[in-house]
Amino acid sequence: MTPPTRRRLLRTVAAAAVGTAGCGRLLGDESSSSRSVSERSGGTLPGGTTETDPDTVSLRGDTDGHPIRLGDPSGTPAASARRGRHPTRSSHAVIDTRSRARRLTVADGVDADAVSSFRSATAFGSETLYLETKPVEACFRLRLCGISWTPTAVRTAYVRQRRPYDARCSADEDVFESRLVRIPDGLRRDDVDSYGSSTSERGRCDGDGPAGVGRPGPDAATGISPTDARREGTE
Amino acid sequence: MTGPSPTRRTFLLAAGVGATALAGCGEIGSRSGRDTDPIPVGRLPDVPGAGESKPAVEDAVPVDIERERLGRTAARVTDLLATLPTPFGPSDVPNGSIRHELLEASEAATDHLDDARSATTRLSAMLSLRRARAEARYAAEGWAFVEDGRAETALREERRATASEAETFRSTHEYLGDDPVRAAVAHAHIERTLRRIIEDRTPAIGGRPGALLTVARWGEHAESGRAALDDSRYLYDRFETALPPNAGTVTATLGAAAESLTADLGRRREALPPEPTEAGGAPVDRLRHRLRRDAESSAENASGGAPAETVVDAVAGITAFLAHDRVLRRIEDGERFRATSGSDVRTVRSEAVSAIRTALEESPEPALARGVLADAAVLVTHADDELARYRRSVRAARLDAPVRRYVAATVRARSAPAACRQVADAFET
Repeated sequence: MTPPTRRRLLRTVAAAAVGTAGCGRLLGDESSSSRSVSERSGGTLPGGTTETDPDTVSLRGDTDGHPIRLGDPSGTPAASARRGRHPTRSSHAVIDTRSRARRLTVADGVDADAVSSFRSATAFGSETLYLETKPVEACFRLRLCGISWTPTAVRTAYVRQRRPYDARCSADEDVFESRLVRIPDGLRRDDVDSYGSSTSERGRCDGDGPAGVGRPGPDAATGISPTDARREGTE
Repeated sequence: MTGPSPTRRTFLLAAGVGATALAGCGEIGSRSGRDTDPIPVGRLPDVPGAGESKPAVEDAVPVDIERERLGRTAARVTDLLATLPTPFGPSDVPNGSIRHELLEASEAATDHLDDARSATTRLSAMLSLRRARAEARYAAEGWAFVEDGRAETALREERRATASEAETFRSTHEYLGDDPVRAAVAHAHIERTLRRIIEDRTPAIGGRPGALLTVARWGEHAESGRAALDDSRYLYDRFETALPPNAGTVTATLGAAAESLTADLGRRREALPPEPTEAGGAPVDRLRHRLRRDAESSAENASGGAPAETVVDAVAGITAFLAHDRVLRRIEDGERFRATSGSDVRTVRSEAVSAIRTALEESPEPALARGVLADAAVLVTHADDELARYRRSVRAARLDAPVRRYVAATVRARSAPAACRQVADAFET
């Protein structure tokens, strides 16, 4: 008996996940722009709403800090993004007013215009921004499968996809991806006290995500940091 | 082949197991403190390092597999690996994660070559070499994607053609033989391998179509199919060649035995006592439930299969029922299958290994018993791997899973000779 290598072990796990998913659609089909909103009574957010194709702007940074941050009112980055020598691994924030949205800052060298125009196009009151930053291995990227919410809770579901073979990256390094997601609902920051996020290794979105999100949906506006000149795409 | 790996105990001595003593773990094995007193790993069975445990018995077929044939397969592996550049670095595949995958596949191929060299049966060596071919092809096709622009299409076609050849081969499969037991074991192996080639048409792929690792995966799938078909043909031909000139077929004997054994498994299933309604997560419940599930599924899956495979699987099926009976009796006698000391674990492991070896000697038809015993031996290696994870000490409750595996291996091994006898008897009637 030979123990499976890590690769084979992972493959087995992936195979099981794919088998469970029963979803033949692969990611990479980024042409759809349709929006699907569904009322769900089950899953992790009973009575919540799920959107599998939310309007999103996502920025990828480097190993040092979060590409998008929510500063405190004086304009300095929030404590959650600069704790200790290294930034917090993950962070999230509900942005429910235009004044709070003005506190969004981006890391040096990151596409500030994408964030600025996304913020401007948001109708606060009937829409809410959700900022989430997550670490990801440098040779992978995250794809947002969907977001679920209730007046008091927000859940996101991601899949992790490998970057193309010619993207120069180290297997031992993590980078940060920040996303602003536009929730088509007027959430109030003070009411939201429950957050959750899942990341699947299977590489494709499906209807079985822990956040209860449905079929695959594209990131509507994936903006890659200019500092990250590595080719994104097809792996 | 590298030298023998250090056992975990050797490692612990080197790493300073004295620290455990200094920590004041003191005397262990207190029956009253199962959930509180950690057991120093030095009191556990002296298992090899994680992943290094070797099964006490490996599977075999009654076919004279030539050493030269194994050597040719090994050469195919080294030829595939030789296509990779050396060293294999960022200038070849810039994505470190993908590079790691390909390197890991080539290392796995080399590991399987080593396994083949240290295998205790020729069949085990053949199976290791088959895995080595698949891993090596994965790495080679991944690199060919970069170097030659290799696409999935040709690899998919290669696998499809292999499956088609396997179907043809299966349709002409003759159950040649002069001894039903030997024929059943040899033909069952061929049947099973062909079935897997035919049924397993598409590999599990996590990546996108057209991506490097997807191509690599199809390369692996194509190679494993081809290797399995090559091996099946070889075994079939070698088995046939070794038969006396006037040997006929055992088709009718196998068919009748398969039918009666399937009916027997069905009757055993009907006769199972009801499961206790209060069954919970205790080790005794888990063990009983696991063995019962094995027994039930063996009966459910018995019908409709190919004849030789049905007969050989019936050995495992009857073994599962008998093992379940044994455990029920031991539960009635008050056993709870929970270790409270390192000595308990040493005892159950030693019983498992001994039961496996003894069963092979005592089985009326060792060839029939080997598959079941090889599976039990693998179970022991899994339990060994679990024990090898612990470096200093372990709470008794964490030993439930390995103890369950050792006990399951023991009761299966002890049940195997009787199961073999019943299957052999089915050829007589």
